[in-house]
Amino acid sequence: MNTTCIEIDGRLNRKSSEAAFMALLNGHQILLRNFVASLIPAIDARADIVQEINILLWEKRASFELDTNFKAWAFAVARYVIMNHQKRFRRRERLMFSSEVMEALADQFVELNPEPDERMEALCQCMSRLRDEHQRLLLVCHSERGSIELAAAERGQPAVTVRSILLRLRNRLRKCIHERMTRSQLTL
Amino acid sequence: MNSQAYLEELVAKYIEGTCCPKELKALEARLLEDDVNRAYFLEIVMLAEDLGMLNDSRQRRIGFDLVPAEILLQRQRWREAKTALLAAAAVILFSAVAIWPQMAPKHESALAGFRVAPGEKLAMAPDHHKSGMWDEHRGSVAAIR
Repeated sequence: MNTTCIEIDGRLNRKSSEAAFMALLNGHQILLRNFVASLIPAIDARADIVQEINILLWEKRASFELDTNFKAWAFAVARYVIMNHQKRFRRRERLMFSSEVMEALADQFVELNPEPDERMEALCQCMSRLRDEHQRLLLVCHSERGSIELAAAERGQPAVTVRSILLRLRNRLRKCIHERMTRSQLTL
Repeated sequence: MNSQAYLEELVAKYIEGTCCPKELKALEARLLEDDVNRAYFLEIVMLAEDLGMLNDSRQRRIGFDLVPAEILLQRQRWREAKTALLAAAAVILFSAVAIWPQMAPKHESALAGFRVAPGEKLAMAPDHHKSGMWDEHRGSVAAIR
């Protein structure tokens, strides 16, 4: 094989491996968002941190070997980024978990091994069992622009009442998702 | 308030982003207590995030359903047709205004015509003189002068 052929072959390999890496990265976005949300109390900082993790993962893609555990590698990078933010947040006196809590939560998150697709499917099924107004309330209050105060004003109820309804609904959904996922794991 | 209810309240505040430093410390203490609390915390946070994502995806779908591409294209086509029609109307109007002086029929200004009834004879000044009306008029003209 001459030099040009080797070069073209190398470029094609690089392109296909980049496409495979991109697919992996896309497939883990929900997990990364969940991971960051579990460790960062500041809601407004989460999107930037997820973006930073994505950039770092892309920059370090050469060090990742396809066919190895992407999730473990991505979480390791995410932890590194979050720890860096922890120091910055402390300097700015923003709310942050202690290192001990962060480590415990990150370890347990990885242990839980949540499957985003299965979870989302179970969530949709469990949501369909709720009344329409409750489904709407849950979606509105957990959206980026939604707030409990707005939903409470719309419903003509005090915010405390809406909060307690939401708490009850979340607990119901959590239980339902848990049951569905356990059942599907048993059938597999 | 029992321990579980307090944990639920703290987790709800964490999700809302309304935890104060004191409450975050209380949450930390409960999360370090045992892995059941941590599992509850992680599951509820994931659920809240998933609900947010579900809402985003539904809103995108609703938005797409309300204004489908066909309607947008139809509107665009109508807008173009409207512009073309207006331009055509303007050209026709301008041409009509420009051509009008050349196309309009040339009418000589017609003099007042007299039509005499059959069998009658048209007589003007001489009869006036005879009737004396002319003298009356002359007298009034003279008076004005």
